[in-house]
Amino acid sequence: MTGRAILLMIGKRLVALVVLVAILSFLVFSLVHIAPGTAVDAYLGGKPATPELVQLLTERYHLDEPFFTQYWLWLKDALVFDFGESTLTTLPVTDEIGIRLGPSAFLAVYAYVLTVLLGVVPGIIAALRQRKLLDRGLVAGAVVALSTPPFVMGILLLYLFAVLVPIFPAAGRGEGFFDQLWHLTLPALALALCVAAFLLRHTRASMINVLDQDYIMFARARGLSWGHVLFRYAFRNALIPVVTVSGALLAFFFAGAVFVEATFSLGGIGELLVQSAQSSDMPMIQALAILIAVLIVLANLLADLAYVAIDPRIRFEGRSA
Amino acid sequence: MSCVLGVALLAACAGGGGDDQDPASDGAGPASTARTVDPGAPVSDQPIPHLNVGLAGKVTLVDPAENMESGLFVNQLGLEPLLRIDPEGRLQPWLATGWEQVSDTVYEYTLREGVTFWDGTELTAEDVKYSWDHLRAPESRRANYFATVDTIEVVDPYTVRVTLTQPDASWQYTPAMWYSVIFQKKFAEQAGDAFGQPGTLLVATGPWKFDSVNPATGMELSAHEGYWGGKPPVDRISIKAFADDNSMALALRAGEIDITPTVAGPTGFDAAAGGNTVTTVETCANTLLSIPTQSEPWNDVHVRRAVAYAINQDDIIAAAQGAAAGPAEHLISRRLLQPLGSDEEIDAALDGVQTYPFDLEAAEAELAQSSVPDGFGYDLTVTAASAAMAEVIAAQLGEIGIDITVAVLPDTAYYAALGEDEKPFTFFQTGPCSPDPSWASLFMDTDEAGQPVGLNFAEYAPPEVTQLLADGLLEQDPKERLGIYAEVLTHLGEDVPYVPLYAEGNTYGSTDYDLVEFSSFWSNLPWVLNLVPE
Repeated sequence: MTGRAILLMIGKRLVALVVLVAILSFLVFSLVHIAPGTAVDAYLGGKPATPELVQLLTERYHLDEPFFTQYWLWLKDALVFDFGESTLTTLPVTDEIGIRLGPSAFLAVYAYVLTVLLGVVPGIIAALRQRKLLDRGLVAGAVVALSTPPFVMGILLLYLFAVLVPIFPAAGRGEGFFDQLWHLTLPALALALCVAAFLLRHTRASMINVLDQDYIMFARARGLSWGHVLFRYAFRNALIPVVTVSGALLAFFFAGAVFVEATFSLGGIGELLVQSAQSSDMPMIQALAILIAVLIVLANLLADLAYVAIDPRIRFEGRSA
Repeated sequence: MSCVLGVALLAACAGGGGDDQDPASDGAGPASTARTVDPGAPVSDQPIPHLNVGLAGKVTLVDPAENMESGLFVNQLGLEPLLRIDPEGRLQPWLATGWEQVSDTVYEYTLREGVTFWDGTELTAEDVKYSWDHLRAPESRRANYFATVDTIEVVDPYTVRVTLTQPDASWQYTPAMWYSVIFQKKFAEQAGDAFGQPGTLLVATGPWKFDSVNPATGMELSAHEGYWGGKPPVDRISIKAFADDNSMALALRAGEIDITPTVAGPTGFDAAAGGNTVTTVETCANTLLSIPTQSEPWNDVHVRRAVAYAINQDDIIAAAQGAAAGPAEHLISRRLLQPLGSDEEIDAALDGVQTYPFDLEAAEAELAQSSVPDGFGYDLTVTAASAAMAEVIAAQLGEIGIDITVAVLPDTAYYAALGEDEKPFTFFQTGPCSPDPSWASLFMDTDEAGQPVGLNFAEYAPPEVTQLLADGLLEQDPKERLGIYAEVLTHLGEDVPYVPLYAEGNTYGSTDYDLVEFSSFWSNLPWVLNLVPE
């Protein structure tokens, strides 16, 4: 693929992203609008309030305006990147997201790296040791990990490695690289194990499939070393399915870690998303939905670019996002 | 397989808490005793370099007019009120050394001299006026607590005068509550809209200054060296925000927090934390079953009485997971009546009030007299957190033929349902009470036309009760007031718009410390001053 073609692909994806965000913001706005309860209900939370306060809040959040006016008022600020204030905490939405973005991104990347390490490496080993004891052991372990939801794994790890044998902290997210690494190891493991188990089985199957191909036998017959055949031919081909899921996986770890965030009290993006949805916090929900949409599109774009790096024959010209 | 692991895990986490001992220890130990040291002084002098406090929920900002939920429990480590309420409900000095009711509607407060803010400047009456005006502004979440205030005036640098629009016997307690805390005027004026927000914070007089607030993780505080009560014994306090009780309990067990003052489910917390970690003290709030008295068939008093007889508080208390501190007889807790008379006087006043001890035969007899003698079906609308207890209530009412379906709503939808014209059949915790019996009138609130508003979810508004509640605030004599509130309870006993389910408890969890004076009003003051090593 030429540099020009790659740039064209990136350009198309970015245009598609803008369209996607526009549609998404309207859909999410509509869904929150028809859900029972308003931001004022959530803010007051069944506590006593003066009628004046209720009136003030209703006006502040334009809840007395027609639906399309409300959406327009939001949109015109959002177009200049002003996402407003959280209706629940009254803090600027960008501040609230900002303090959670770093740790959530750290956790997502950490969990992703662990997933790849714990999925791909044992997957290849299992494929090479097919039907041997090690293979059976790895596959059995993967079944257990696959059947354990991340929040159960989280509590188990917490109990084992923060309470019984206190090697890791029980809560919090740390500051600075190494402190964060230490704090986020258990949460990242809890997130990673389930998906890594899936990846292990996937890699194993795909590796076994590639190893059975004629071109591998041919390469071996030409006298190439086993290591060369394994990494130059087999591994590279087996890696494509792994790259395929990478984009989705990163986005999932970023926004879908809510149970693990709660177990380890990390205060991340997932928790914020659930909290804002529960409290009809429209400015926050909108900003988070857009952020997550952008991340998913960008992560998939990166995955596609990685395809090109792995196998330059792959073309995207005929595709859009 | 995940289920099997889950069960094994819960059993493992519960290890150590499996004995028969009741984790709640009401009425015993330091938690139930009053402070005996001078205002501002710590109960224990033992130096603590760094105290880690666990908090279920977040601290988002420190502006006392806007902060919410969990922040309310830790704001008062830095922000102080003028007065203290002791466990008996009597007023005691704090930032103010004296207070006087000049007339039915005028109160004067004399400030302690030599109280300094964190920046070293002195507290004056100007700061008090500014703080209270901020808290009673229309956009303040606390405005309803200042509804009867007409003016707040500075008489001299150490005297503040409050004039009410009409006599209001409940006002006397307001200057001792978390919603009347004092901060520095000068800083607030400079901060403008950013006042109290994480990057700006505020300046106040408390023993610990706010160093930083992170809405995702917690808060850092450090000792105010020039504190008027003497240098505080705790140098640094870290408030760590947790998502729930369980992770907080494991953090206590791992030694990462020293104490948490906000345990919601004491039984589960204690099991996860390893046992013998929680102390629960009864408060002046009762959890209430709210019956929509304007909807059929609840508009028939016999149906409501049948429900009241069919409720077995013992089973409900057992289902409360330690959050219930004991049974509740009346909507207005006995603790709220204590400032108005002696035990004998209260007993005498409540003598004729109808109560409904658990009695299935009586319940069936009441239902037989009603418009629905064969029973009926209805929804009990609750949030997810109350679903388990709702099932217990549904089972109890099922015994007399009332077929209850538990309808679980998300929190915001639940609050919206409470605001609908047709109120749901529900129950709710009544939370942080003030020591005056008029506090309970929130649940019988009416507008000027006598229509139920606000938290009057039972839509209970007989004109004679509305009049009694108004008289209760206008009347200044405690004995007369006791009579008025006893009469309100007599009406409530006859009409049963609410059925008390249990007396609420406050619970702290710690293995190293106790909290003296952990009464209903513990969070109004810098409560870390009341910490004593176990």
